[in-house]
Order: sequence, then structure tokens, then C-alpha cells
Amino acid sequence: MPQLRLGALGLTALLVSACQPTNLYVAHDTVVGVNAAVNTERTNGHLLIGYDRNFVTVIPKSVPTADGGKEAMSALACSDIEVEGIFLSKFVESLATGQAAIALAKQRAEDPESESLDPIFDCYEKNASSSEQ
Amino acid sequence: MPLVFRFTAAILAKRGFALLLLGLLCSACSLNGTGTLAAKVTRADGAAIADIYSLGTQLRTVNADSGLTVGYQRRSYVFELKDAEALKPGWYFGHIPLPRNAFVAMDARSYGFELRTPAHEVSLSLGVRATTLLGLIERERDGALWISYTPDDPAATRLRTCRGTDLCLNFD
Repeated sequence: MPQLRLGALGLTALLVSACQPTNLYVAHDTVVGVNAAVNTERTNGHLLIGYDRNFVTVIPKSVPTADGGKEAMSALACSDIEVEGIFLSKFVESLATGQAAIALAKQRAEDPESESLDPIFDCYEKNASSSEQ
Repeated sequence: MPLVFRFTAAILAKRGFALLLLGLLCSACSLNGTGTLAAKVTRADGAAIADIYSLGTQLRTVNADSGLTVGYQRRSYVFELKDAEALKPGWYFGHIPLPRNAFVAMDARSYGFELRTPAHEVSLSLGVRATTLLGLIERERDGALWISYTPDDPAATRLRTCRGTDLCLNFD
């Protein structure tokens, strides 16, 4: 029996370690009813009856580099979301990753007034002003 | 008809309906884009959107949207148009040739039991569930993505993606 338990634990560890995210994304999850969840590292979980809404950004822990090393992922993103009841009725997402995110940040630093960057920074400013109100 | 017979008939009808529903749920199943499903493909500005409707049991092995649903659901996947040449606009029944490349956004509405097993968590739900995934980008990618998506009006979707340091900011 202990061997079986050890095997099950090993299998679980293998499954969890194989589940490291390789994609960046924003996830929205709303449940009306019963909802039970646990994260893959088994450090956080919940059981809820009724209404539950979550937003989470899933970020890969590291990105392989050209020289074989690893580094943190560079990303610049803004999401503008409209909600109707429990469903998202519309969303607009602006996202730059890796070298594009670095280039975008540099452009913004060099020329903060540049209109060519409006599509992404308008989203930031719109959300910043709505959260201030 | 005596009241007792009416009551019995009502119970049997309910039980029959429940059995019929249970049988339907058990016999109707699908795996990713194949099985008891109906799907509608819409092409929009830079994107192809597949709205998949299914009743019964559906198993998904798609990265970021893996799991199992028992009940009714509508799952909508947004693909880059260049990755979805095989998806011609129109209705599909029984099978839809979903692109192997990952979708860039997803919206799901399910009624019933759902098990989700994406990379960040394992969750179970019973009831109504709405799930949306936005801006799915593989971690090695250098590039930009701009999307405007209204799940109930897929034809109004606008999508731009680009690689490298090109920011493809000409969204309008």
C-alpha cells in the first residue's frame, strides 16, 4: 500500500510539473452554482456555492533565450472588458511580448507624445481615468 | 382520470424525461472538434471564429482549454485567419477541422457539469459557467496582438498579429 501511495504522489507530481504554462493569457471565469478549484501547485484552492467570478493572468515562469539561458517574459498588455450579466459581452485586448514589448517601452520612453502608440496607451489611459472615477 | 393515476403518469413522465436526458447525455459525446456537435464558422477582419455548440459529454485536449463538460455548451474560438484557411464560413455538423495552432481567444458558456484542467488550475463546477481566455501567446513569441471581440457578434471581430519588433499599430 505505501508503494501505491508513493506511486500516486509521484504521478501527481509528474502531472503537475508537466503543467507549467507555456502560454501567456488572461482568463476570466464566472460560475453560478457550485465551484471547486485548486491551483496546480496545490497551494491555493476554494469551494464555493453560489456566485464566483475570477480574473487571472497566467504568465509563463521563464522564457528560453537564444544563448540557452532563461529570462523573465517581457510583456505589455491592456484589456478593456464589457460585462453583461455573468458573461463578457465584449473585450479589446492590446498585447506586446518579447522584443516587441521592449521596443514599445523604448518608443514610449523616447517620445511619450507619439500618436503612433495611441492604440495601446489609449487603453491604459482610458482604464486609468475610469478607475480614478 | 383519477388523481392518483394523473400523479403516477406525471411522475413516470418526469422519470422518463430524466432517463431520456441521461441517455442523451451519455450517448452524445464529442472529442475536440468531432462528435455530436454543430459549429458555425464566421470570417471577420483578420480572424476566423468557430462557434461550437454541443449537448452531452465533450472532452477537450486543447491546450489552455482542456477539460470535460457534461451538459450544453457553446465554445467560441478565435483563430488568426492565416492559420484557419481550412475553416470555410458556414455550418459544420459532426466534425469541424479546427486548426492545430492555438487559438488567440476563447469564450465558453456551459450549463451542467464542467471539469477544467488548464495549466494554472484544476476546477470543477456544476451550474452555469462562463469562461473567457484572452490574448493567448506562446512564451517564445516576440510580437504584438490587437483584438476586439464580441462573442455574440463574431463578424465584428478585428484581429491584428505581427512578429518581431513590428508593432502593427495600424489597427483602425
